[in-house]
Amino acid sequence: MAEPQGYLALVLHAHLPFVRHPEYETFLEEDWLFEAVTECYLPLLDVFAGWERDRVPWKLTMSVTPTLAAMLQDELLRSRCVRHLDSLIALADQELARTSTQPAFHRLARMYRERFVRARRVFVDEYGADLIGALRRFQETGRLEIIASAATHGFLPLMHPNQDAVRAQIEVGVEAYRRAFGRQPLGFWLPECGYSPPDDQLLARCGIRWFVAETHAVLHARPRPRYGPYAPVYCPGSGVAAFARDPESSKQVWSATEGYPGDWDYRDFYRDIGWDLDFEYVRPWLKAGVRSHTGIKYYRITGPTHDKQPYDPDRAREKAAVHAGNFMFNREKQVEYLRAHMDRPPIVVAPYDAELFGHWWFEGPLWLDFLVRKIAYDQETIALTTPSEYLAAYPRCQAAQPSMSSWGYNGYSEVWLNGANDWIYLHLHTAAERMVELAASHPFPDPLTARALNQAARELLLAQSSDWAFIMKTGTMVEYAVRRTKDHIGRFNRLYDQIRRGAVDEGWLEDLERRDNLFPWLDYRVYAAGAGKEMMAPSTLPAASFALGR
Amino acid sequence: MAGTVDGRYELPAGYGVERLGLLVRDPRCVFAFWEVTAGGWEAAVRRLPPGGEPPRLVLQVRDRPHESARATLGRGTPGVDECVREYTVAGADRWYVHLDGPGRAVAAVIGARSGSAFVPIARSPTVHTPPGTVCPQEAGEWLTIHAIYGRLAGGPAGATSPGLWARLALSRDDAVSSPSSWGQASWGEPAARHGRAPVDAALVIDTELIVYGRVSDGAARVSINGQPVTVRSDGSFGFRCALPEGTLVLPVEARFPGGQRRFATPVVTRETY
Repeated sequence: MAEPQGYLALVLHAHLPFVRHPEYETFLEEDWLFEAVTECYLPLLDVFAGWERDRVPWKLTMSVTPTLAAMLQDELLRSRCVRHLDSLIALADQELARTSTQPAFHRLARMYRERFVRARRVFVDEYGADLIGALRRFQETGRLEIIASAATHGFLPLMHPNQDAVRAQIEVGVEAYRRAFGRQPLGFWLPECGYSPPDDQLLARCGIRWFVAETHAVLHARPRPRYGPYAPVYCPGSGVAAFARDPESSKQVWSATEGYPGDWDYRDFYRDIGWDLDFEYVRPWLKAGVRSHTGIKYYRITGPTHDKQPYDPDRAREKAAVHAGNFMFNREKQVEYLRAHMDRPPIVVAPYDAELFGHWWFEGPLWLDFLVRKIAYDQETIALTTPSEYLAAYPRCQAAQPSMSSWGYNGYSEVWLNGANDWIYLHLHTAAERMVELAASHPFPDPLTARALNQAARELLLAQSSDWAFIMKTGTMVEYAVRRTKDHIGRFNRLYDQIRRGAVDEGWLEDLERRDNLFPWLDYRVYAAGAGKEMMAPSTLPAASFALGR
Repeated sequence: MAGTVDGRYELPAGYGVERLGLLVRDPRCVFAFWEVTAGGWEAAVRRLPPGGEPPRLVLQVRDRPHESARATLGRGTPGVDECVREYTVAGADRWYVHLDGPGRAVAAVIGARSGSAFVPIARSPTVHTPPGTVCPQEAGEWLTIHAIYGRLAGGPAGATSPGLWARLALSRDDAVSSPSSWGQASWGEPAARHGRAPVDAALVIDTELIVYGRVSDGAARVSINGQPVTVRSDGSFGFRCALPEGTLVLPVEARFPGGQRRFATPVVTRETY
């Protein structure tokens, strides 16, 4: 294939907050992980495997946040995930009987049972319950590029001006990546696309070459970028490249009104039997005895009506193919237009939450499968790429300082800073300052104090997760988000007091280490002033970073 | 709390230290949060001139457009004065401050005021709000990563050129920027938030049918509507199915170990008006 007129970089951002409650036999919020594994990650891996099997020339970028990677590697959560799959299979069995008098639903019950059985087989037998290992193997094919992210998905712009807090999120995130994937990351997913100068300099110190930013981070850059969001810019203070999210391709998928996922033939997310059926019937499958989603849903969106029609998988599949073709056609026209005005092929960066695919948008993995295959075989205008490959092919870029920005509502910090959640910042900033103080004042602690210091760092990182502020804003599951924030800050404060008094409660510390066991290798010295790495010049970067053009 | 018990935590109202933090919410808004201790307040009040108006806690926000212009464009804007706003914030511990425009350098002070006298208690660092607009200056450098590192080390810069900016310039209103409404933490959204709520007072009726019975031998095999059902050791069995509108015929068959077969066929009609 000759040089295409433009490139499409699909970026899937996979993230869940760290939710692990060994103190309970079952815990409702742990289902977020199990649902994501069942409905998103396994179907996406299935799609990747299909491309490999059929030798499709695919290219995809994926961020896997450190909290998600840690949960996917956790033995307790893995075993509970298998238990969840077993439970789904049993529920589907029951549904096969219950729907035997309704052919349209009986067919769907059978579909779900087959999916759950297959998911369990693939998860347990094919992947050994190790999805990180599976992703690592796909990365080794050179088709998938996995990028790093901040330690606990902290929203970095609101950690300013405490550079040590921002630096710790980035450095711990990069270290977690190296441990999970065994290599140096080149790209970095800024949580919520939250960028604020000069965070790029902290990324550079960890060897990061590029990050994805919201459209206006580049549109509003100083000086004005010549090619807008369709070519990366180098941050002048670091040389790290900023790739902007393309608004057109985002809108086609994200828009709640115009986006593909809202098509009337697609499966309705909200009509789940956990809500629809008699409570006594579904109660054995509900956590904590409250109605919630089970994953079995029998209706299509149908329209803005309560009178929903049964889901038709064949019709939905056809629609996914149509939508993939439409998306590809629009990208072709987009790059044809852009190419006429640029001295290089434009890059269209299309990032999406990975959890959209399969969970919210049941047909999302199918759409992605159709799209990648169509791009490979049905046209020659665009080619798939990754930002790393694009940078390697077109290393000469404009230098411009991106603007502070995020991909949240209104484009800045409003989602994570509003009347519903602003009370957290006094506590988060105080804790971050205290952590820096502890690191400075305890350069050579005894072993017990060192454990307490590490746990304090862990609690701070967990409290900083952007998810808690987000949930407080959205107004659902608020109690859990508030509780998590208060508990992590409370535990941090208690550790701080004990460390300062030289009276660490070892039994309680052990309990904390068991519960909040994120990053067992964490070294609190990441908060020590000046602990940051020196900026890595290109010559010191791994050779792989300059051998990207495959 | 002591020992291994880890209860539920409530956070303190403050940490006993005077402080004022300032965060950027968007190009036109900053957020101040503070802690003023009783001791800090009393010390500030003591420094006020005696006999004046009753002291009040005020937040001063200094908006420095010339400094921000220097930061973003490398040059100052002569003739633009520093703007100082002041808010009485007694009883509050945080405040949103709306600015006149984007791209500002902003700092804040919290303190005690009595008449024209003001005693600061805590100061914030200076923060910079984003420009919020397309930069009028297009001149730029085109570099490779190595050239950037060279320049950081003191080397020369690259070239510039005009472009197709007008076609690419998009306002924020055109952009889609709320994926969070779909994504990540929305795992936690219960269905009641989207569409489950009966916004138009909808009533949905479903019916199910429970068929149950007993066979004289727990080893017998029973099927209902062709579906095998579990027979308990005491011979009882049960079957639950959806009851759709219309007439439902449910043949039940029992097969005993000795080869005998027994049949029963309940017929149920559902009519919903």
